[in-house]
Amino acid sequence: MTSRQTSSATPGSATIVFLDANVLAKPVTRTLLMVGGVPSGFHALWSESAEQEAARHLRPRAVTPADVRRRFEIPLVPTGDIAGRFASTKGNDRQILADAEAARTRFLVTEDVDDFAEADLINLGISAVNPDLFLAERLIREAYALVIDLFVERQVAPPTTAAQFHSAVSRQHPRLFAAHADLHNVGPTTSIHREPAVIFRGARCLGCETIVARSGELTDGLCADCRRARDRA
Amino acid sequence: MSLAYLTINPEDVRASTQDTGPRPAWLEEVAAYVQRAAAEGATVTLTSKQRMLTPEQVADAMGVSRSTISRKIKAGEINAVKVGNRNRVPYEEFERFWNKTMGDMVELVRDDIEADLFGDAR
Repeated sequence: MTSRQTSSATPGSATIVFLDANVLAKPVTRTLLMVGGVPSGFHALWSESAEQEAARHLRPRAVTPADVRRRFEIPLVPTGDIAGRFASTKGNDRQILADAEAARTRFLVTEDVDDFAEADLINLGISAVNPDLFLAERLIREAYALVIDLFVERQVAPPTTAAQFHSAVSRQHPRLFAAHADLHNVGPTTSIHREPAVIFRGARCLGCETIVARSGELTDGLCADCRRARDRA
Repeated sequence: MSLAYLTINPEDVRASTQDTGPRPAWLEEVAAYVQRAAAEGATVTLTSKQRMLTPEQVADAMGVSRSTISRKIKAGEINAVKVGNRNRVPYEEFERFWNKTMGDMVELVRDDIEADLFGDAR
């Protein structure tokens, strides 16, 4: 087991990350973002609209995002105004985009990045990011290890080791697993999902959070400087 | 000298494992400070004191409202100390409370997490 890393966020400095319904509905992804976010310098929040949509896609008898929010008194993001706005984005996704703007978020974490029009995202200064890509880039190693340790400490029978949890995470989050592959001496479990063709859209760099003039530069979410820094590491 | 003092917080040091440079950012700051002092013929004395957070800082760090934290202080869930007539939370106490809260959050959804990770076969 790794040593316990507690919150390293400087109070008041955290980045707000907005969770779409399709991310809220996944307990492992949601928990990685919520628990690992604070030590990694971000807060994961969502809106009533996202919460209601997520509730329709949960497993029977699952704890709902609303249950978690009420239990831990996590604030809901205010509902954003969509009237006459976001013409390039369709249907319910307009409300998600408006709510993300109301949250003053910089990143919208969603399984369906290509549902959000690039023009609308650029206008808002928000980047839409696939959760596995977001977690791989932004969840620091100590935060990931902490979440895995908590999975072990708070589990119910049968006993499962940290290495087994780590390996199982790779089914849904192969990029996150790869980023911390050497945390335990274990290989990945076969991934159950094919990664979407579009996993990042927008002009805000996932690493340094600055707006990049040429949005096409950010195909993997990183600006040239952040990509060089990552490659050096 | 231009810098009268330099403050390094525990979270800065603990977060430094994500730094990619040869030395963490906080150590670079200390080195630069000492070098500037030496250039001006000044002595540097390092001291430390308990990091204290206001209830508002705790709320910001945890992503909850100030009233939530104030209520938890009043209920004894967070052990604050009085500085004058104001509540202050020692950083270690903030860490303890944060760890407990995150553990409780995982426990609340542990069945869903296991089903999500391992399916219904277990």
